[in-house]
Amino acid sequence: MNTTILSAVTFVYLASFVVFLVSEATGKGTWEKAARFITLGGFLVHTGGIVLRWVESHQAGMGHAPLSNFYESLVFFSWAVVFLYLSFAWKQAKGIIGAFVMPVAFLLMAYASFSPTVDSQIKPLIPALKSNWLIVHVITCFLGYAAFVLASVFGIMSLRQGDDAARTKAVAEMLENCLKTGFILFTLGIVTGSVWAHVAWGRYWGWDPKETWALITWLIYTGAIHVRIRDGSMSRRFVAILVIGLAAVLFTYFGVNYLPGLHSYQ
Amino acid sequence: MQAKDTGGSGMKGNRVLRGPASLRLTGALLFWIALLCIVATIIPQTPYRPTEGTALTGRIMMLLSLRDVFHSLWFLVPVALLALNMLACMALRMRVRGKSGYFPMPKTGLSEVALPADRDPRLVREGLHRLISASHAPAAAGSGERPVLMGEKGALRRFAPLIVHGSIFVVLVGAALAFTGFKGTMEIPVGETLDVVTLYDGTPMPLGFALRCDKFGIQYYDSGMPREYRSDVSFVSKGSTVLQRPVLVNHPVSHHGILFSQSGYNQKAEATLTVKGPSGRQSISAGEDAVIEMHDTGHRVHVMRVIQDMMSMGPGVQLLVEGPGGSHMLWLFRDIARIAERYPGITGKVPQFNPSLVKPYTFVLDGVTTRDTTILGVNRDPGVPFVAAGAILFLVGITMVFLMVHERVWAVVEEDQGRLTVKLAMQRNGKTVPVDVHVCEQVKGLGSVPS
Repeated sequence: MNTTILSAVTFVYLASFVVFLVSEATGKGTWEKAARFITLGGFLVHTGGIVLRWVESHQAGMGHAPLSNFYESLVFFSWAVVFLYLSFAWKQAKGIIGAFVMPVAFLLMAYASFSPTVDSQIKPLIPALKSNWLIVHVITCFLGYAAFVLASVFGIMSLRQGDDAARTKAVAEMLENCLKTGFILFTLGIVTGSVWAHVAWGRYWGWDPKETWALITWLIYTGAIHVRIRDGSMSRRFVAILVIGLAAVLFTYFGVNYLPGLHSYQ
Repeated sequence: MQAKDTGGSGMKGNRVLRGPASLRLTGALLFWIALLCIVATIIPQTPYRPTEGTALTGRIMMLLSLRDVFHSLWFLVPVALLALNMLACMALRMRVRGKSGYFPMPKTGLSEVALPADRDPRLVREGLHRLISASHAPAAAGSGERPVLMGEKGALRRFAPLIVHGSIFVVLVGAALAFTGFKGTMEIPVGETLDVVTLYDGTPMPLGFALRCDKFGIQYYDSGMPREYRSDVSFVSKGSTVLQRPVLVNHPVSHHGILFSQSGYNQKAEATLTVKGPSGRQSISAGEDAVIEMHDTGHRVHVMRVIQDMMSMGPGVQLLVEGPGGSHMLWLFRDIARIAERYPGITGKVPQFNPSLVKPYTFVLDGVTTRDTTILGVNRDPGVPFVAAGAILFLVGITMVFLMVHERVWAVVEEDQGRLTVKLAMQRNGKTVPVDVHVCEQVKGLGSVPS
């Protein structure tokens, strides 16, 4: 049941992307409002789907948070992107900004729901994942990922400077908020992961590929923050670092599965 | 983060610190460290295995420590340099900050408010003082003919970048302390006691106390997936049990600063042998790799393989018996009588199958049993409290950097030919920013003599 609802959300996000595009093309407020509320509606259903999955896992006698396999991580990643987008940009959630963000949420959901390689079944937890640290580690990491993705998307948007000074300023502001939030949350994700690793494996850091790539991502965004302070404005090199950071986030999430390590998804 | 702000070419402060504190150096070091991290995830890290063969690529990899990047000088030296770089930045920041006993009003970026002619300078000053005190902690900033009023809030925010960079230094110190600890494993068969850790490079290390595995068990889900691994372990010191604890995945046990975690399991096949010799019968239990000394004749028996079912012939054991008469390979079968019935004369045709091949002994295999063996990860890392403290400090510092605002405001009243002008300045997180229009409006209304 939950997978049906969640796959329906995919199409809602696609629709909101299209309506955002139309609103940008027509410049009409009605379309903008419609797109915003379609996104919000999709997000609420998305949240409901995740909660339902949790409930269904309890009913099946497993009772674990839906944060334990590749499917669930994709669904939560997409949820985190929309959640942060709505939190930081509800007022600005219009036109081209939505048209840049919603495809990210749509693609993640589409991959989760329709890729034949992604298993959407609820499975019991293996002993290594049976820990309360799972929830806090996964939530902080994915909110961090999502905030970094948004920061990078806003960075790319800022290259396309229009005449609209208010929008330019709004994008810069949202970028800054996302970067700061992402940095705090991702750091928290690494720290909670370290605590968990200490408990589960006896060491807080073991240079597992996922750990190493998380560090690489962290270093890149650390660089971005320093360049931002130094340049004082949206410089091209700042945006370039954000784009490299986006690639690093994607590799940390997807790419590491192709390397041998302890964090591979089942 | 703003500690780096003073880095680079336009930096103030001590000349000695300027080089090591440069932001360019930070950037280069971060880039290099990130690059090595990438290399280390592409080339599998197998630090404790000897490098394969003498192939040229293998030798180059060994020479450049590419199979053990994180313990190589390529990696450790830049990390140490990064730590020094941050220390230099922090020292510079302290010097720059520490100098000022009071904070002079900025000379540029001032907002000027011209007051109407009828204002009383004393009342204006009082009004300004009230205005500043309402939102900021007032402070004196200079004296003399033109006393400057000053207010400050969020002053703690100034230390946030120091906390952030200092915390990373603390983490690195903690990480360096890990080199004074050890990492290893203990493989303990159920019912046995072991007091030696096998370190990751294969060397054994005495623990100072012993561990006995009382029980090992695996619970399964209905689907057959493992649900729980559990070892019941006793810690034994000088022959007496001092602590009994279950070790589960995600629930390690700490003893004498050493962390024991459930890291795996094995099944060990063990052979029960009866050896008939000149001094009678002897019953022996032995697993693979065991060596049995026969003291009366000087023979040594190496247990080579223990197999539960050898090619459908039942349990079998391969032994290498060394003695004064040379070395002999022996295959023992529990069901040798049945095998001999089926293949008459086999012990004559295949001497290795003859249990009495090595005189004066006759070996009988009574059976093969399997015994569960728990594998515990054994780690001692004295740096953990430092790393934990550093991580907490970092999170506190970074939250302060992002969420707190340090504000300073200045106001000075100037009189020129009977007309008063108030000059205002504001700094947010060390940067001069324009004063809000509505504040200027409020200032304009100050000092009017009540009628």
